[in-house]
Parts: sequence; structure tokens; C-alpha cells
Amino acid sequence: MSRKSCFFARLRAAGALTGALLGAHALSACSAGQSYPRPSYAAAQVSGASAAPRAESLREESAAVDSDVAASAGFAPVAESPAATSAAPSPPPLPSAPGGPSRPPAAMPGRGPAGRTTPASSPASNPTAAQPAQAPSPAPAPMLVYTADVRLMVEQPQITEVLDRVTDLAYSLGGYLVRRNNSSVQVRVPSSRFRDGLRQVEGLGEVVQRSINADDVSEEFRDIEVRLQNLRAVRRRLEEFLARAANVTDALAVERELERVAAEIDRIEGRMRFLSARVAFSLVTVNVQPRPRQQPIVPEERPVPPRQLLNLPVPWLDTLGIGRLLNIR
Amino acid sequence: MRANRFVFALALALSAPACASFHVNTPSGFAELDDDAYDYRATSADGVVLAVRALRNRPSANLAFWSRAIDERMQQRGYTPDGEPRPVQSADGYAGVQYRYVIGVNGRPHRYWVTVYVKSGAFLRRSRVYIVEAGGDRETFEGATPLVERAITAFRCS
Repeated sequence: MSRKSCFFARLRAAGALTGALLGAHALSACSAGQSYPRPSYAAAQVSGASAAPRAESLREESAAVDSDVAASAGFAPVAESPAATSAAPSPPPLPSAPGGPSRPPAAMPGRGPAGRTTPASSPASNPTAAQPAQAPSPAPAPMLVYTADVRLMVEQPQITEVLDRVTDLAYSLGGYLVRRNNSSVQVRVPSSRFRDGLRQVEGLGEVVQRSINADDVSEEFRDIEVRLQNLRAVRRRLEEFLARAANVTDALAVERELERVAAEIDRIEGRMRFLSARVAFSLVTVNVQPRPRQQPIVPEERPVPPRQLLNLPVPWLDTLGIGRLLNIR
Repeated sequence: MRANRFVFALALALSAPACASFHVNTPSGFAELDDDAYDYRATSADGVVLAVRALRNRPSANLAFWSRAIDERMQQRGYTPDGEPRPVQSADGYAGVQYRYVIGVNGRPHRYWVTVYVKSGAFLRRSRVYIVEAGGDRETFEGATPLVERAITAFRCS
């Protein structure tokens, strides 16, 4: 086999591996409610009979670089940074995701609402990051997205004041305002202060209704995390291929594949940032309704029947009146 | 013989009709009418009428009862009270109550006053209820009001 044909065979095999990996994770992502397009490249390239064994060999090669991939996955190593763990004390009663040792939210507290996660950190800065890939760590803390709905009843003139106080409370806890109207306000507070914030909100009026929901996004996050690792491995391999490309045609083909993989990586990183933000900041919706005025219980208005009259046996009472008086004959 | 005289005198006293006497001064400008409907009735030339009836106190009741019964009946018949009931007194010291009403007759407002006295006699059959009525078109009644009031206060139950 010539050197050129060998190169293309390896490239096709890499494409097949990419497609297989992306396809498998697309299924899990779709089951989690997300739509990830299944790459058409896989379907087009996997049909080659000689591609399968080479894909196997590439998969083995990619496994060999797992440690590098884990280090470059970004989120896990960041979570172990001392600054992150110190900035996010986990509330004891609510095992929220920010307290998890290997989860992105742990790296997020303290950031503003528009804070951005930097998923990729260099392996050099976190030499322990490769450990989870070699020895499975204990079950990570679940990543929970907390949402609370509270309905308060206050006096009519106090509605605006209560809404203001909820907004101020969110800011004081490090959160931010999401939306507000005349009778409700929606804020996000750091998950580590979620319970504290909720308690303070409930002190602003009479709680008519309260509901708290915890949505576990751990599975989705793990799926896309693994998918990201694999895509980065593929990208690394493609970069190696690109460096070894013998001519322009080969280089262009590899570039196209690199571009597609990079776009997919960006999408996954965006999704991870989104989930991390949701986990790090809990949503609290407060609806305020006026207290109904206390009205005395009045029986249903019924027409009072006329008083029953006593018919006195006194005929002259009926002769009283101006008609008879003025009747002069 | 003497006993027979006493029995005769007692029978005569018991069988005698109860006296329903009263005294009323006919107001100036009024003419006394002779009719069977009232024990006394006088009218002015412009239609203000004053009338008196002396009735047996049957069922036997006091002033509070008769005054309340009269007011109830008048209001049932659509008479509108014109102020609170007024305590009055006859010239010979009997207490009475006067009710004043307003009512429309043929589309015109009229005033109607009814005053009741109760005279309790030594014998039940001598107990009397005196009804003094006065009424007329509101316009003409306004001019005759002092005369009517004077006649009512000068009324005597005996």
C-alpha cells in the first residue's frame, strides 16, 4: 500500500470512529431532551470494508491518549482548584451540585450572572486531573437544578415593596434579577444560598403556596462530558493527520473534518456552560397576591317578607283616614 | 218600700246609657256639620275638616295600645309619618298622643292628623277612647294649622 493510500485509510478510519462516537452520544443527548445532529460523515465513511479494522486500531490509539483527554476536558480539573472549593460552600441540607468535587458549578460561585466557564484548563496547571480517567472516583454528587415557586399573600399596598425586597435579597446573596412584573418577580440566587434565600423570601409575607423542584442533570452532563473528551481525542488525531498530510488535497480533507469536530466541541461546551450555570444559580419565582379584605359574613340578601299584621277586632280603626274625613255629603 | 226604691235607683243607674260627652271648640271660620259618621265634625270653607269620635274602650286598653294600633294601621294604609308622635294633653288633663301624616289624594299632598285620648272611667262601660282627626289639602291646612292646634289642646274629654 502506498503512503498516500495508507494516509486516506487512516483518515477514513478516524472519520468512522468520530461518527460512531458522535452517533452514540447523540442518542443519549436526545434522550435527555437535547438535539444533537448525528454526523452524516460517519454514515458516508463507515461503509468502506477496510475501514472497520483500522477504526479499531485507532480506537485503541485514542484510548492511549485518554489521560491527555481527561486533562484537557476542562471542567473536572477546574473543580479541584483551591479557589473554587473555597468559594462554594455546599449547603448541608441541600446537596446541590456546587458542592460536588468534580463538577463545574464548584468552579462557578462568585462569578457574575454573565460569568463564563473556561472549560479547558491546561493539564500542567492541574496534574491530578488525569486521575479520574485511570481510577474511577466514587460516585460524584448529583448535579441538581433547583427551582422554587413561592406564592405570598400581603396587604395590597405592600406588593411593590415585597417585590423590591425580593430583588434586593437576590442581589445581596450574589444573585440577580431575571424578570419582574406587577405581581411577581423571578430571581436567581447562588445554589449555595438557595435555602437561606428561600427562608428570607418566605418571611416577607404569608406563604400561600410553596413548591421546590430539583432537576437532576447529572446524566446529561456526564454524557456530554464524555462526548467532549472523545471529540477532543479525535481532534488531536486529526491534527496529527494534518501535520502529516502529504499534499493539499489531503490537508483540505482533514481541515474539513477538523472544522466539523471543532464546531461540535463548541456546541457541547456551550451546553455544559448552560447546565453549569443552571446548577450554580437556583431560580426562585415569587408571586405576590393581595390579601383579600376581611368582610363580615353577611347572609344572602333576601327580601324581607312583610310583617304579619294582627287584625285587631276594632272596626273603627278602618274608618280612620282622610278619605272618610273629607267626605262631606 | 225603702228597699224597693234603692233597687229601682240602682237599676236605673246601670241601665242608663254611658255618657260620651266631650267638649270641643269649633275653630273660627269653621262650620259644625250635622252627620252620623262622626260625633262631631266641622269644616272650613276651603276644606279643612276637624272631627271627633268618642268610642267605647273595647277591647279595654290604655293609651299606648291605642296609639300604637292607630299608627300601625295608618302606615299600613300608606300614610307617611310627618315627624315623631307628639304627646298632647287635653284641656281637662288627659294625656294623649298625636300622629301627623302626609298622603296624596288625587295627586295632591294632604295632611292628616289623628289625636287619641283614653279616658278610663270608674266603670268599664264608661271608659272611652276619643279620636280627634284633622285633615285637608296641604296648602289650605297650612293656613288653618294654628286654629286646629288650638282646638285640639282645648278639647275636653268630659
